[in-house]
Amino acid sequence: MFFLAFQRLPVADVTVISQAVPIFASILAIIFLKEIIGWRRWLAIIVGFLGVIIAINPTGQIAVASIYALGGTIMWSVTIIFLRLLGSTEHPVKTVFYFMLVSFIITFFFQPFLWKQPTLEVIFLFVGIGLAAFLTQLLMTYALQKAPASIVSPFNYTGIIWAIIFDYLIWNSHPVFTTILGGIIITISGIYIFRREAKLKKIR
Amino acid sequence: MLLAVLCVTIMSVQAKLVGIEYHAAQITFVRAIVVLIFLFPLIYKLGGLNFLKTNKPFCTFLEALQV
Repeated sequence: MFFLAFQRLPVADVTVISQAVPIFASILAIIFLKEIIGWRRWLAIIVGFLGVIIAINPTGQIAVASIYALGGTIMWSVTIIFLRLLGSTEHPVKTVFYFMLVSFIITFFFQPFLWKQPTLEVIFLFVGIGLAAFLTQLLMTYALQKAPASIVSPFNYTGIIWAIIFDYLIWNSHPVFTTILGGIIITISGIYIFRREAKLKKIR
Repeated sequence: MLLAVLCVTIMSVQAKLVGIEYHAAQITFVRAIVVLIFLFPLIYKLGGLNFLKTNKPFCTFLEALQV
């Protein structure tokens, strides 16, 4: 879903929408993990949603690409819920292995219809994508082992800054005001949700 | 974590560059192959096939389906 969105939107726009993961994960946790959420986190979720709407719908016409990004974000949130269920017993390397194995099997069946022979330059980019995905998993696992999630997770939002820098350097594209505003609102509500969850864990 | 987030962004940028000409399913397919190749030595070090046994197969499968 994210790859489809990246084909059509600036990296910063997709990154901003994807930061809504903690907001969707909180809602899914209420439904599937039966977590009880107080009014403060509900308020953060509602405010976060407003941020998502501002980020994806600046002129009243929601682009299909934004829907892809939103779909990817919801799926990522579902993954977070499954990771919470698996986390206590399963090793992160095992989780990544099965994720990639299923990814390989599903997409394998599409290849006869859409495979396009890559050039040498594209092969390097493909390897780069895989290497970056592998390093991301390793570094995130290492970070989460070294420090509590509530401290580490808010750093996810630095992705918006990186994305804006790359968009500018490669495509000379600037984010529109509504994307920045939506991004700020999503970031504030997301960080609040992380902090609140950490505080409640300490109390328990 | 900062480095991990930078890696995600680099992956996104590369996916956008490749995505102009190549289908998202092909990018996902190749990404999976490359990551699996990098994972194999780690899995071998962690115990090989025994390490891959899971206590929650259904949950693991559903999580993996989010691809």
